[in-house]
Amino acid sequence: MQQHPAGREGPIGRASRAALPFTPLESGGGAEQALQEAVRRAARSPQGRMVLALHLSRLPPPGPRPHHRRIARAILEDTAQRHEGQIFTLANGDMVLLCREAVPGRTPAGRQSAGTALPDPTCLPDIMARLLRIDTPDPAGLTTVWRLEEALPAPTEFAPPPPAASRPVLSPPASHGPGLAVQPSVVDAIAAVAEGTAIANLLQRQTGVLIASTNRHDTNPNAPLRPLYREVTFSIDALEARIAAAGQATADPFLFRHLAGRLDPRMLAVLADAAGQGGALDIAAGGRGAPPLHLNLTLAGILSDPFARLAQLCRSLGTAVGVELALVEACADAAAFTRARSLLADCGLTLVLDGVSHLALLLTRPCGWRADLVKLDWSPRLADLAGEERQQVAAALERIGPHRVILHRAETEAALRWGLAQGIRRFQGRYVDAILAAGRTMACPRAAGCSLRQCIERAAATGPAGRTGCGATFLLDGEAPLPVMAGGPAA
Amino acid sequence: VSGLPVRRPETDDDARHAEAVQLRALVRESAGSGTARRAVLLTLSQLPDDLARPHHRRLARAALDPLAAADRARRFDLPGGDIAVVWRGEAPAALRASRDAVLHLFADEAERLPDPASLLRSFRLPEEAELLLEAMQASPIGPAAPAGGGRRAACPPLDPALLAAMEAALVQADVARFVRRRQICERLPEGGFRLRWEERSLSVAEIAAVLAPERSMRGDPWLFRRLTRTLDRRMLALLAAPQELHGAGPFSLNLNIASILSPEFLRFDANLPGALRGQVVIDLLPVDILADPPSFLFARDFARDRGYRLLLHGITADTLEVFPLRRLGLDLLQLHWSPDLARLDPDQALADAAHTVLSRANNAEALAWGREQGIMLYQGRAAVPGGARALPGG
Repeated sequence: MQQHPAGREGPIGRASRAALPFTPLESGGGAEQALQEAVRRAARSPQGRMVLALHLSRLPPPGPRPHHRRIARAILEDTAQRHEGQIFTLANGDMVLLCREAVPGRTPAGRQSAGTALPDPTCLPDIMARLLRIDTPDPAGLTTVWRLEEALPAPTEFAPPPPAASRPVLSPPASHGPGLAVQPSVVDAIAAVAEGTAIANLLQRQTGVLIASTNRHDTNPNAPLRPLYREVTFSIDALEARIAAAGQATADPFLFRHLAGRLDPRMLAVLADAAGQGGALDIAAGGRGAPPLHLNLTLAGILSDPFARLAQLCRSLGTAVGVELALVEACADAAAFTRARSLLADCGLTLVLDGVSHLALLLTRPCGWRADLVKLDWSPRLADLAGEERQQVAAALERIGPHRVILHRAETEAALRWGLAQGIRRFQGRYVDAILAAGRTMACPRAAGCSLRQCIERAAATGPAGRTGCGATFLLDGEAPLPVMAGGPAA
Repeated sequence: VSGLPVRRPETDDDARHAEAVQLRALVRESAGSGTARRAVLLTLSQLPDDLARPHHRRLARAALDPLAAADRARRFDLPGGDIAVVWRGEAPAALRASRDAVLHLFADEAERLPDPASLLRSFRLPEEAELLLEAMQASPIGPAAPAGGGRRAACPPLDPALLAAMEAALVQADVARFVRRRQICERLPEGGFRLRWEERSLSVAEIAAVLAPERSMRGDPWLFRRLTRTLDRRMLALLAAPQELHGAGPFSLNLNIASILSPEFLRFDANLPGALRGQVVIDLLPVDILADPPSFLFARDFARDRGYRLLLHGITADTLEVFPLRRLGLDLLQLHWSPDLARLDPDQALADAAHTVLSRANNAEALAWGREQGIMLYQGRAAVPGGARALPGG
């Protein structure tokens, strides 16, 4: 829980009487000074006056997002209009409302509504906590309320930020509306990078593993790992870096899907060229029983002729690939999804439903897509869900079948422990990478000069350039279960 | 510019009749010799006049271009603007691409067409030779395609550059003339229907005809989805104009999540007449919800607080199981009618019939299924105010 300002614990009525008297600060930013002055004036006649601070700056990244600010401002403005209020937006993005409390039996001025109750100032903490409960682990800590006749904000509450600490409130460029901040041309340029150059250095891979626990109640994260598959993807970071567009490729989910569709033909061409040639991109590398490659494709990519050719190659080489498809692709065109699922089944290829967040698990029934495997994105919120939601997640996992779930983005031991406790045995993520690298280091005769991080990065590389410096590359593609790591990796 | 290799310049009536004769001969030859061929018939003659304008016909013709690469593909321009393509061997990817392109082209006109899927029918020869000949016979022999319809210009999908240009062009555009209204009606116990609200939407086909007549708007579904955000905002700006909603009745809007959180929505909300508060329905698509679930939850609760009802739009028999209305915390479900619904496992029966709108209810079969399920709200040609008394189950 986030700590509230000294002695004040949020909802009105519980404000502490021990707060210090309000004292204006001598210097600072415009809004902060104006607020202090306004509160000082209001305190001369404090009856029925209140101050509400909305601490948007306490939202963890990616918050506060522009729409958080916009909607919060709209809600506060509604209240300000009807309760003789003033709003102050501080340099850190927090908003402060100074207004009159609602008077029982008296209808406030301003817009009224037939179908909804406009918020009373005393309801604002609950409203904001409800709206933002997904975006913060401590929604109640987002607001602080002072009744001026009982307590005044401490002088440090709205202190102007020192110049070095000030940061502008982020907002999208004026010419673009929300959700339109990324220009299509940027994504077009990123796609052109992949379409116009050799892509070996733009690809990366990550290994998914099976933790060989003996039974469902075994939650030991240090049990032996068996590589199950190796997922080959474009490195979005590397693509963005080519045109100095960090964070732009994924900022708009729809443009990102367009980009993914543009990348499919390149991926399929590279894998077709590499088939039977050996190396990290060879779909037949290692022969029967070796962990197959998994590739991310769009629906259009799966239903394309280049994919049909790759499937034919799989048949002729006696191998298989797994195909990972983003959940939003299925949602966008269920009929095409059904065709793609049938096509993959006919080819004997595994379909993995990718990008299933814990919210998707709570809001929908991913089991209804009938994919072979479901990739659930780990979130620390999963381990911290309230009772009813925890039961819903458990029921959803049960419907899918824990044996068909891969816990993805498993970056910490907590992720593995949570997954194991749910009966999940398939994992992929940086924590798994570290365990695998630690195992290789123990087995490697030339490990003395390598760090764990170097070993992780070399295993993620798909071309020889990325493996430079490794004297035992056969271990990077190792298929055997690796030694148990007592205590887990140190990474 | 791509086109099928057998294109010919003639597009007049005589040439079309001649091609129909040639196609019949080929089909009969196939039946007689047992030569295996595949064929598709695109019956543009089914289209209502306002959906059969030159750009519609160009786009529909371009939808068949993927089949150009099939073995010995040959295109036939038939009377009434219909088109057939015949080829040897299998071309499943090309056939799918053509079918998808046709469905996308008329996706927002579904209730005005008898059955969008029937626009493009495929046949196996020689087994289905008679069916193809009957289908050709059934097509009305109307006038030849209007000028321009004979062009074989390929219609590429929306691309990022054009999307950016369209977004810029639409920033201040008045979209009033592109607004379409559809009626959502409640079935009355005594028979017939009464209007509950109007769905207001923009005609993408008409906007495309003005801004990018040579492009397929839905050819790239993701760039199209992005474009809808701009369209949303123009619609909201239109509705926020003074007097625009004076005297208006209840209505619904298709909006993206991002649009509910936009300044344009806040202005619309601020200008919404008091009598309409609580009377407006916002339609959301599943893909938009799952593209950003935290924003969905934020927007859902905000819109609810402001008195809007929220409807989950675009649900089909395929996705009914995946999107449980109550778990999503939404008020209404819009379910597209198709005969597949009638074949659903009873265990998957509609859990929220009282909160379901059955859309594309264009025939008695749809109404009968809806009544059986306990659905009260309908959208489609068979469910109009005061109508459908004569329809079985109405």
